[in-house]
Amino acid sequence: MKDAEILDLYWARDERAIAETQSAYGSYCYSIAWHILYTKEDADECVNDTWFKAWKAIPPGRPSRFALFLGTITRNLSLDRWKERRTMKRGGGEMTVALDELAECVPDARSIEDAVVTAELERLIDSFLHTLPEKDCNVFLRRYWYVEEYGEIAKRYGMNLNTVKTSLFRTRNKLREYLEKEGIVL
Amino acid sequence: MNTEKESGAIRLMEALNAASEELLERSEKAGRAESGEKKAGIRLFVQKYAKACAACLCLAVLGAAYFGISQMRMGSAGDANTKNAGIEEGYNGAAQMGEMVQEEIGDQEPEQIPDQAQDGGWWESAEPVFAEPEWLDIESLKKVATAAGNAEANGPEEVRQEKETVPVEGLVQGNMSTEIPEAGETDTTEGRPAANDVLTGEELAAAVPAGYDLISAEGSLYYEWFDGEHSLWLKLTETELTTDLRFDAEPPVYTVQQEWKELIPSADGSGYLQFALLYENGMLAEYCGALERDEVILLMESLAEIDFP
Repeated sequence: MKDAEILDLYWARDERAIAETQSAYGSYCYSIAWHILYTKEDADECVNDTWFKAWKAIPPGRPSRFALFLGTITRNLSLDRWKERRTMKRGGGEMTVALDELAECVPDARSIEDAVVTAELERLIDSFLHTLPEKDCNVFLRRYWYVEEYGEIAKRYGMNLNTVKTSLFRTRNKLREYLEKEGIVL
Repeated sequence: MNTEKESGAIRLMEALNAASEELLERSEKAGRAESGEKKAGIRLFVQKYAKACAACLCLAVLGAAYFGISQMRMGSAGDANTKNAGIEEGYNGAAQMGEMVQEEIGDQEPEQIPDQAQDGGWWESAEPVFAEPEWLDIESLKKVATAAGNAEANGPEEVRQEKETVPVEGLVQGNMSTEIPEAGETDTTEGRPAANDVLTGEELAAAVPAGYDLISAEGSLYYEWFDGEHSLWLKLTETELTTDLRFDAEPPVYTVQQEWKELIPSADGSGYLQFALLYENGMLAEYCGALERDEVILLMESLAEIDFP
């Protein structure tokens, strides 16, 4: 079933919409959740919550890119769940490694106060991504949006593993310099 | 990672939610497209050059046959060896012509060959990136270990044929694995990694020349640094090998009992040098990098000073 038809089911408040969404995007959303949470139960829960949130959001919403709409919901839910777990115990998996890497991009600053409005940070991040060459941008997003492993990224793009690592290393350096230049304090 | 940095990293992670949808879609489609394009590209490459190769090979075979026949006629009164040599020479000539054709095609400017046809992605990195080195197989290393006295008395060639090989079964037990274990994994068999709760990248970073940033540390036995141009790898493996052994291996393996500083080979054409050094406590340190000779020596000497458990 095409996205437009699935969305029509949401608008008609037909509960088949959930089943069709699950069928079309279940594995996609599960993959996102799994890479962040690394446990089946939590990932399943986040995916189920995604369908619930989509049901509540549509209507009035009618996302033009349904897959990304769902993926973003799943990602947010997974990040929230990950933060909850973090307060209880340190989790493992790729998320921890990815966060360690992204910590390199955090400019050094004495203050940890919320000096940056979230919306402004998001705008800057998006702007930064547009400055990157296509390949570097793709690799960066696969790593830090989808939280994919190096090997998965290398396989996806037919790249050497070392090339992936080098690309990410350089991009993180660029991001740190970009944020420092913009005077960002995180 | 301290709390401030972690919080900052989480904010960055969350801020990525605002990444443009077209960028995310592009990252999704690029992977699928490249896979399809590569297959099509290989097909195009074969279609484009197969005829040329086939034509050249046919000419080469005809030339070899003609040459061989003429040789046979000239040596018709001679012995069979001469005829065979002529045919063999003709064959070799054809083979060489074929190789020359292949080399010529291979030497073409990269722009002339479809990007998608390339294997390995030479076009993907504008700067030289050394491929991850091949690490030693500890099992094979055991087999080429000989007693020091025999090795030094007879030299490297004789070592291979030396019958007095130290029975390594008595030295090393268990199954050595050269697989890089998952971080945190402990392996109770031979060749196990150093205790991964002791060695951190920071400890080793002090031994690495300035300018190199640690980009990977797995299980406290595998480290990778990068200075913006060159990579530097260190792989540490705990073994039961002893420094009274000598190894005939490639890349070379030295022990601290040898004059290893004098024995270190020169870098290869890529500017990289690879060798391994066995310390008194059985730690085998495999190095691959582009450091200057003095820097390499300092680095390996520093490793000796680290208190491996």
